[in-house]
Amino acid sequence: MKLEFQMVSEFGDFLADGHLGNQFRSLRIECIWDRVESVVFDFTGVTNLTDSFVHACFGNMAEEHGDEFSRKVRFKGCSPLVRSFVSIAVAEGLRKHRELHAGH
Amino acid sequence: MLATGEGHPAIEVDIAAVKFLTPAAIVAILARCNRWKREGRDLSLVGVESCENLGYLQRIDFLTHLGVEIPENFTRRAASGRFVPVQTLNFASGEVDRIASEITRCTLPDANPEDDVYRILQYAAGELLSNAKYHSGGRAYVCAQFFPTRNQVRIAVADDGMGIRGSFVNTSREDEANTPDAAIRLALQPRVSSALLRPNPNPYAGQNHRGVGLSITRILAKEAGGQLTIASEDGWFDELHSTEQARPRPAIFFPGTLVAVSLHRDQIADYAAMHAEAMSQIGMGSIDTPGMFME
Repeated sequence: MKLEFQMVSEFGDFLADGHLGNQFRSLRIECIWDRVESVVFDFTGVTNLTDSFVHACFGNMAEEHGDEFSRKVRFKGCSPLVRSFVSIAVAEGLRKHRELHAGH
Repeated sequence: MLATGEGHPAIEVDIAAVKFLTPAAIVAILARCNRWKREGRDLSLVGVESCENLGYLQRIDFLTHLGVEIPENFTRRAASGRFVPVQTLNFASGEVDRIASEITRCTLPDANPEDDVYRILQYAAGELLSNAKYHSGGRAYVCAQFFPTRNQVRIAVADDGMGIRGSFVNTSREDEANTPDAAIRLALQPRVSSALLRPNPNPYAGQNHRGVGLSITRILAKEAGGQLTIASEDGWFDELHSTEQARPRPAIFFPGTLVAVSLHRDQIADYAAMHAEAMSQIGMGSIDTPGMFME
């Protein structure tokens, strides 16, 4: 199964609410993660976002899945600002994943 | 006023001499007065007839939020950057993104959503509202204003909820947040969020907060020539009080949480670079992720 989400259709041009980011991750992605071959998040039209949103959605997802996240997830249509936010949240999530699974 | 009303069954708020209120004063008074009303205090507004700036208080919906309806002898126009009406948000129905965007658009009507100043104010509004929504357990009031002579933007969010110390109750670091000042200092630490510290019955559910937004907002405000100010109970934080040349702190008792941010428009150059630098200061940086970003 291949998924693609238009983030501007899901949330508008400003992605702000951490609760909604976490809810989206949990209800739309995590519940079918094992059946998903790849997932693309298209940020075309998104002009701004908060750290609360991006860490709740993509930071948590990267923390949960580690390398599998890196294999399955792609981002497109990112402005330099969006790319910077997402990249930092993913890095933090992957760092925590490694920390949690160190020695396993 | 916020301190002297404690313990009195009846409170009169005299607005006769009010000429101007900062965004922080507006939202703090609204949050405090509405909490007094909720507690069953007898709250009345006096000096309305003699208030020289009644129109100003009406235009920002200050009186409406206090439950006072007085006929308006002016025509309401779309918010123009001078008078931005106060917006409210609560846990059940709060739309953080919509309210943050609306307050930004009204405060900076000449900016567009791609401008750095627009995005930094929208970010600060989003983070402060998100915190109020998920940590306060109450109703939040938000207000912003642009001061053209100083080229300064100010935004403030106040809630009538449990306060910062209250949000750390039943968390693993409750003992560290044992005074209002200590609770504020703890909340300002990167990677500290009361939500993260609370036992999570479902570890796979994830968390809505990473304890990043407040720390980054503080750094961005400083980089933009402004500052972050926080009041909760009798706790107080601002940059001047965090230095050795601290000035006398205001006497205040505010049972919820008040957070105010100021930014100088001409000191905001490249928001993306400012944000990345702020993240780096708290030890979070990007990594090389080959192929993760498609063109």
